[in-house]
Amino acid sequence: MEKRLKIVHYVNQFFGQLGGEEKIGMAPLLQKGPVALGTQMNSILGNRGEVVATVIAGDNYMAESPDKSALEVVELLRKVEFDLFLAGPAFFAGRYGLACGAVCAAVNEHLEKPVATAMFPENPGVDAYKLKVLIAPTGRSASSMREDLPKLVALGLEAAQGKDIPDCEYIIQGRRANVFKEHRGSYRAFDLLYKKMHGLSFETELPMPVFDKSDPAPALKDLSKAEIVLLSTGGVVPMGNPDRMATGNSTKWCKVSIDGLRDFAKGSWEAIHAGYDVTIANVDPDRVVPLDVAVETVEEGKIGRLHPYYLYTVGNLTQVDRSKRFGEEIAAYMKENHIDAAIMTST
Amino acid sequence: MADRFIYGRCLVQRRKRQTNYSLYCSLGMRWKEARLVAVLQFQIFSSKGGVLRRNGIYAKVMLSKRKGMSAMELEFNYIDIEDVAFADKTCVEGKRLLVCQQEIIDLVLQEPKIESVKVDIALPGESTRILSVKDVIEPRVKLDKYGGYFGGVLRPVDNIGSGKTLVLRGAAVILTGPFEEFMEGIVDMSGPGAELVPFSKLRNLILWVKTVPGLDYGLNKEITKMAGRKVAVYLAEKAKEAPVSELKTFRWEPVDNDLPRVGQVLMLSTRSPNDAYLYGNDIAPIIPTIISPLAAIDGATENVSCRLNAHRHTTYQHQNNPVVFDGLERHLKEFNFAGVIVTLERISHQEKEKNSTLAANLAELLRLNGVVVTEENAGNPDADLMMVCRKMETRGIKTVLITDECAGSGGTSHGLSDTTPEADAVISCGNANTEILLPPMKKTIGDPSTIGKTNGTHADSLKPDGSLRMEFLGIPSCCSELGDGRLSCVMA
Repeated sequence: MEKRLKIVHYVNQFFGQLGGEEKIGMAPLLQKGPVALGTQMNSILGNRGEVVATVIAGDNYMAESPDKSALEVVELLRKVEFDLFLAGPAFFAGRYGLACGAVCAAVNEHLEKPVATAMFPENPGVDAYKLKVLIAPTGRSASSMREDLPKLVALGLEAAQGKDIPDCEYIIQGRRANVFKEHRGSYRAFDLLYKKMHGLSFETELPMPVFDKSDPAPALKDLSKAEIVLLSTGGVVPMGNPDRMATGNSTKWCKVSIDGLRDFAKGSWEAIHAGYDVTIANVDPDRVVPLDVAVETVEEGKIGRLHPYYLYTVGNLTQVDRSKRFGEEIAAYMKENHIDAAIMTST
Repeated sequence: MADRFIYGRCLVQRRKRQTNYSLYCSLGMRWKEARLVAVLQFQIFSSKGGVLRRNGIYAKVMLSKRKGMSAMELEFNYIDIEDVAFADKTCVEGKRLLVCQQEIIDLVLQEPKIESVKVDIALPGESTRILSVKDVIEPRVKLDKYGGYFGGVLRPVDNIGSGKTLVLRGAAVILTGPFEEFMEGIVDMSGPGAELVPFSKLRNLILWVKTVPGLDYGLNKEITKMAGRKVAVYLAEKAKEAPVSELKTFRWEPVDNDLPRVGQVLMLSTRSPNDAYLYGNDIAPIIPTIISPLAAIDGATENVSCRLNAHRHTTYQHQNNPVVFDGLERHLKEFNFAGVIVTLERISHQEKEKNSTLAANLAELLRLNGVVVTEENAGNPDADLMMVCRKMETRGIKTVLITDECAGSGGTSHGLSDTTPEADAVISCGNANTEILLPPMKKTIGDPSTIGKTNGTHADSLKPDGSLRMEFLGIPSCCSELGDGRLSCVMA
């Protein structure tokens, strides 16, 4: 016998029946029981749940800084006893959609309650919040309310069960989720191969990712005037790994001063990358990051200056999205410090 | 054509009210001398043809005149094990494997470079966590004059892939020891971690082996692995007197018929020497080669690295290669399972190009129409996987790839570090970056201070209450790219 869920419903000033444009800047307020739509939700829910409170807020107030205003809604609900939070449907109203997304995300994070909302797939609230909040697809306007309100309720009930993948209609979040299939991988592989060999239609389980390719920057005109920074994913770190760099799937990149050093001496530096045999690297870490040759090249006048910091991370199974972020941050650092180019080594 | 095979027609008679067909050989040779190898075609003949005597459905068959068990026949003698317990003598009683601790210790300590050894037991459903798992081995022994297992290592390679093999099905030796390096696994025998691995359903003898100090890296692994092999073989040997639970014979011959020809490309990770063996040879310096499917499931290949993670193959998985088992199941029905191409995942670009080209050449030599390509490991070898795929497809050989994804903890990162448009048929074995909270276990086998040093764990992974927050990466074979698991990913 499933519990009768206590639901809080979030709507904007219009659906909250408090007014139109003149109420668009109103701060969130809490009302007991359902309001209009909420009553319709109650009849869809039957004895699976009921709307015990409604939060109404003006779209403009919320849209100014949705995440900040969402925290105000969180405060309103701290003393309220409820099991599920539903927002909208927002259809194609952009500010309303952003507000629904923000409020759901905040309630889920700070009050740890299941949440769900609904809006038109092209509503900006979808891209902004789909990874944090489950969103049911609706039509462009409230003319499809009759079809869309039940979708919001259904999604809410799935969210309340804490399932990783809801068993009803919702907008794909764009994340890979683990599932257990009926047959093992090798069995599925032969099924797939049969279809492929016989020209039948088939579906891959893993669509190929598309990597965005960027054009390389133009070559330096005069190396003898350029400042170069040494950068590596090979995991050469100061002995003892003071910055606690991970040996795999690293979460950050670091910089350390090499001002005045002539090479990476054995005993003062070590390689901690767990994806290759580091024995040879530890005998002479310059083999992975050639500081010794870089210093000589500067002295010979072939390179202008060596940046006094060495930038490092570990590239062992490091997630592609994190790597992308490191690249963007390092590029920003280089620009800020007027560095012309990097010599990047891996393993 | 060699006269090993003769072709003829047999009358196929259908018994009343039954759906199976019996074959009655009408070839004029005694049935005992002929062994049915394959049913090639069903034909309907009438007596008007003048050749045959009666109306009916005939099967065009292929028969072999070879005496005794063919070189292409492997008979598994399965002894099902449902319990393991310590006792005074090592033997199998009913479905219980009884192990004498002292016998195992004495056996392992015969090797002077081993300093100490400990033996323990872990059964399905127990609240037990096993740390520093370096390999898992199924106890098996060949029933022939040479005995032992692992051809090329403990015995000659003759009869590997044929003859009789005794298997303690449902049991395993889990090889552990003091922490050596990053790639050691954690196995839970109950709870959410247990759902991810086959080893939690096995009756495990845990072997903890410590070598003498001062050994070099490679020798240490060799000695440790050898101890694991010896114990696994010893257990199987002691079961020889026990009654067999099931006999299963696999017959396999290279045949020609109208069915498409299919093979497995078994990619093995070998960035350093002594990661994997083929008939006892380190595969690092070799080039791709072909072995028969029966040899592949009879110990021809094994993991000797003592390194495990979510997507490395344990020796147990080599022994139970699911692609070969499922392929043999469909052999002569949907396709001819023509062979296993063993190829390498190497580091340099030059070697990647070389090995992928040679693997594709071998596939052409075998006249394959399709291949199932299984990867080992992730990241760097994704490049090898894509090269193999591209070169096969360019030669008109259809590919299906089996790989896992490293899609980040939220599942939003690209799961592969290389791609090719030809890779349009891929089986996913799950997201190796998934985070899981494992509950505390009453018993831990191994040193808890190693948690945080091994893959998938961080310094704060082990909580004060004994629960463990880690990535799938550190759970051996949970995303096994041989395809023996049911874990997969969908877009959510």
